[in-house]
Amino acid sequence: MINKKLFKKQDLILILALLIVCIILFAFINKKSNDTTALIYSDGVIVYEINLSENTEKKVYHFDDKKCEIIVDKDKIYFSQSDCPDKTCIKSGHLSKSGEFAACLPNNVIIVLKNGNNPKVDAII
Amino acid sequence: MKVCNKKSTVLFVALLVVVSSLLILDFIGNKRTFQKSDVAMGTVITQTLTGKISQKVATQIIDEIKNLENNELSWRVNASDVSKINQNTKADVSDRTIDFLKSALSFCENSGGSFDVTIGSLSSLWNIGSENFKVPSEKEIEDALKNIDFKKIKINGNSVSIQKGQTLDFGATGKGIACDEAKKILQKNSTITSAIISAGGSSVFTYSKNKNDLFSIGIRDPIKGDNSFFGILKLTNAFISTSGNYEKVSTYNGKTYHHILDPVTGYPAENNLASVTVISSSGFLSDALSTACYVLGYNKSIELLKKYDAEAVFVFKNHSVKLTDSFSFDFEITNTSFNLV
Repeated sequence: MINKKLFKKQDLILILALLIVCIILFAFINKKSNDTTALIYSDGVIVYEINLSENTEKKVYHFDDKKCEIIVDKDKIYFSQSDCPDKTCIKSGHLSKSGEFAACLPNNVIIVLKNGNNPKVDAII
Repeated sequence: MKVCNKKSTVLFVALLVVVSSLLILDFIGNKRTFQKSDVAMGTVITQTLTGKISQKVATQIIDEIKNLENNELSWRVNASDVSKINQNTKADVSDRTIDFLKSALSFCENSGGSFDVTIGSLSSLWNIGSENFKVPSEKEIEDALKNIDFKKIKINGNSVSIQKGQTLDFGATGKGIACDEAKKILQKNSTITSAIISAGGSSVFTYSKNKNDLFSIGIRDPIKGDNSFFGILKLTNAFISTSGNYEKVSTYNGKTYHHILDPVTGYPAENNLASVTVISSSGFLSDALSTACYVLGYNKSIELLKKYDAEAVFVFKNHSVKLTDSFSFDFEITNTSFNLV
């Protein structure tokens, strides 16, 4: 039992507020979701982060100075066009599962799919 | 005096809350996971690191892999040691390149003809998986085979020489070597508690400070060849590499050719295997062994795997799966169309 003489109401409010701030901070930092997210890297930097689980539309992505195109269609993402010689990126097909990736090496554009929480496997080999 | 005591107590409790929060945040910092993908070694390197300064360590790792590619191993980069040897038949190279070459030569010697680091003239003749793919004539293959002989590589100090017409190719071990370099950096950084490094989806290194923190590694369904897996391996602090007939393929006149070339016949290795996954304590070995075992087939692979104290999962075209006798890892088949025999 807290000594009421020792702690005024305002003191308790202050301590409580501090505790709440800590809990919110803790929850925010540990925030995870089950959604599958597509990360698009261009020249090693993430340029788009797309939540595929919540996506309901079709959208086309282009990149400055690069002749390749990525399409996100509902929960799928894929390279649709590229000027690269071997078209390995396009041949990688539609990606929708965590752990999948496709890369256009000549253009240095990569798509990597990651799952926010508890994927079945950590890597596929 | 009473007022002073009250104030002190309130301040003390408030301070306690702040300090505890900082400690909790620091603990979370240690548990913080950082994921990054980059292009190196002609493929995608994906790193997932947990621990303090994980971002900084991930950057160190990718920088080191790029150094390895540009200064030593890549035949595509003109200034690399391998390119210098290939272009001039003789070159002075780094200590590290000498180490890689010596490891490769020793492995070639033990592989029973299934692995040869001078396979470059054959792989560049086929170009499987690229737009320059063509099925070579028998005469072309015969000529290329004359240049495949690792015994003709001479090492004298830091000087390396090959015969005219020979081409070094570290394609079958580069990703494994990249994983070895990643391990060295991780071990120097005690703040990293766990990590998984994947090179091109065919070589993986798993690392945990706590040996009981196991990773789940899905082994790709080699019949479908897509991103689905047929079984799950649970392990840590190990290198895992897979070679399969579904990776890098080209088709001509209705026939599909895969990229694992047999250095004896000059053609893509033909047997009843769909893929081989090797687990080893070295990235170089897991990568080299998976290629060699695919070429050798199940029976001849067993001795080689024993020699290197490595274990393997063999997947056959008829969906049957065999493990090495000494298999000590937790392995579960998740797709019931595959049978463990």
